[in-house]
Amino acid sequence: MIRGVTLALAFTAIAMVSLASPAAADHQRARVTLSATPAAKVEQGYLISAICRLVDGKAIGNATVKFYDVVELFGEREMYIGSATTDASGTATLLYLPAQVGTRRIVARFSGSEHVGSVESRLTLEATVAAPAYHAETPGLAIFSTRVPYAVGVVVLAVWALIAYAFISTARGVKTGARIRKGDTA
Amino acid sequence: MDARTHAAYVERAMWQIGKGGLRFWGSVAMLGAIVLFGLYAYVYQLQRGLGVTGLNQKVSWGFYIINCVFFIGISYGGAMTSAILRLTGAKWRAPLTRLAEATAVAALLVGAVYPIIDLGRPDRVVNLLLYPQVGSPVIWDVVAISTYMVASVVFLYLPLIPDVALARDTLGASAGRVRRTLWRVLALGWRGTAGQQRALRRGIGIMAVLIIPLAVSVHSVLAWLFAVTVRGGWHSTIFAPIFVLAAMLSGVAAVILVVAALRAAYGLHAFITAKHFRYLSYLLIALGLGYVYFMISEYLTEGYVAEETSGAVLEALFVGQYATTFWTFAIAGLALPLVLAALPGRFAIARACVASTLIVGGMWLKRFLIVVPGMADPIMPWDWGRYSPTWVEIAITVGSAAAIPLLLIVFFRFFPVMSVHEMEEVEAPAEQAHAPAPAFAGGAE
Repeated sequence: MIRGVTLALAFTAIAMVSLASPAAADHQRARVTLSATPAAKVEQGYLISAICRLVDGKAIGNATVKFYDVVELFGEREMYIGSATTDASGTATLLYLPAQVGTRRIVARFSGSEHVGSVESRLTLEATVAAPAYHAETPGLAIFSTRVPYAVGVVVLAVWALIAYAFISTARGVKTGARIRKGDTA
Repeated sequence: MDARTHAAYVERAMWQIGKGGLRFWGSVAMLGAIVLFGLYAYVYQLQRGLGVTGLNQKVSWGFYIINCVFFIGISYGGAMTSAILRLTGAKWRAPLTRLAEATAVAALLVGAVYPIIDLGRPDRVVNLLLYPQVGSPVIWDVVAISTYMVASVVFLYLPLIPDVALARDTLGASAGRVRRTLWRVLALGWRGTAGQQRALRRGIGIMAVLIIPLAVSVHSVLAWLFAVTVRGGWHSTIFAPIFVLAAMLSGVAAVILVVAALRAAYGLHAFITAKHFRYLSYLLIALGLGYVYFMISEYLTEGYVAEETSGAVLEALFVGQYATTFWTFAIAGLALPLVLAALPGRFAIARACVASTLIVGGMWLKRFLIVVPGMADPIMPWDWGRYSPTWVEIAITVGSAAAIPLLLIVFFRFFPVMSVHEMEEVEAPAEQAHAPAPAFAGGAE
């Protein structure tokens, strides 16, 4: 009886593997080749191209590739910078202007499709152009808010001067009075 | 001996100078032990970090900021009481001004330390000076408190000059070398000449005028630290005036308690009478009613609109998790003491003391109700924060509260407890009030 059950379980396991295997076999391996070139206009940054092909060299068209920049923000993390769809030659292109110059690590990720497995590629980019620093629009009351602290500073200095005057003039008055004989008019 | 003679003034104002005794040393030992335990708790916090407190990511302001606002408020009340009474020429002020001014300085010394305790890393206070942000109320708070501290010390010192000279002339020979040197240096050669009197009156006058806007500015800047944020219960246009009034209310209550305690300790019954407590109670009632009006105005306008954040905080105060504390403050810490102080009849001193104790406690609770619910209210869609102080915060709070009477006891061991000069000046007939040099003031000659 026990032997029969064991045999049945073994057959079931083999059947499950054989059902799963064709699906895994359907997922073909792909590879992404990542490259970066300066954009036509320097101030536009870099043209990042990801070419997605199957291992046999066949281009993967109409696939979405997501691009990330690896940044340091409370530890290392990927900052999403955009996505692009591959054309007939399997090429997805993204125009990227980094926030800072220097070494950027770019990641391109294709999350796979029904028949193609997921894949990613990394690229180190030495960025020499970057987006200009962000400047908030000057608020209408800025004319006051930038000057008020200095006006307050002047008031504070005046108060300190008044305290010093009260103290020093009293001390001097008392000291001077000490040199006058009692009963004399000071 | 007639209580209104020069000899009586001198005897009562100075008998405690340099004298020890069991009561003095007992008080110093008891208060010193409490202060030392508070210091131990602070060192413990310094070694282990703010993690030993109940402060957390959501409620990052707790007892320390409450105490900062509370003690600076008490200081403010002391200085304002003295300044207003001087400027209005209230004659009954004479035996009280020294006590009020000394309380102001002692409470300020304690309150000003709290932002540093709250930092956890006290060395980082240097960053405030190295990288000041002139657009931030924090830097102006430092400026306001330090300016007010210097002004308070000068305001305490100037009226002290004739009394220090009196101590020099009266007790000089019998006093120790430290006291003799201290009095000689601080008296600046005071002999009570007409020129000296004039210079002193002018100096005190300037400081009395200056200390009022200064104290207002300190508490306003402190209020703006809260009000310029978008937190519920904090972002209010009435916050600065309500802070100023709260400070005056708690400050006058604290002055009543200090006056009552030192009256009993130094035997000043002949000089500080029920009349003084009645007048101070009137001040307390006026300030209390003003505070009630401001509070209703704040809660009515915020509650009627009930914006998402302020509405949630008001709900927590009136019917939610802080309702017990809020109604305890409103009834026992505000309404009851005002009724007690306003009642006519006997026991004026006892009633004033009970009312003041309740107000001081109530105003501390009010600061708790401002700081903690405002912090606990989640601005993001999240749970309310929770805050329970640990023994470290309680020990530091109690230790700092004990530091105020300790500082006062030590101060009055070196300096007269009442201003003899002022007592004689207000008691003198009008034509003599500006006469040169009372006889005793030039006794060194």
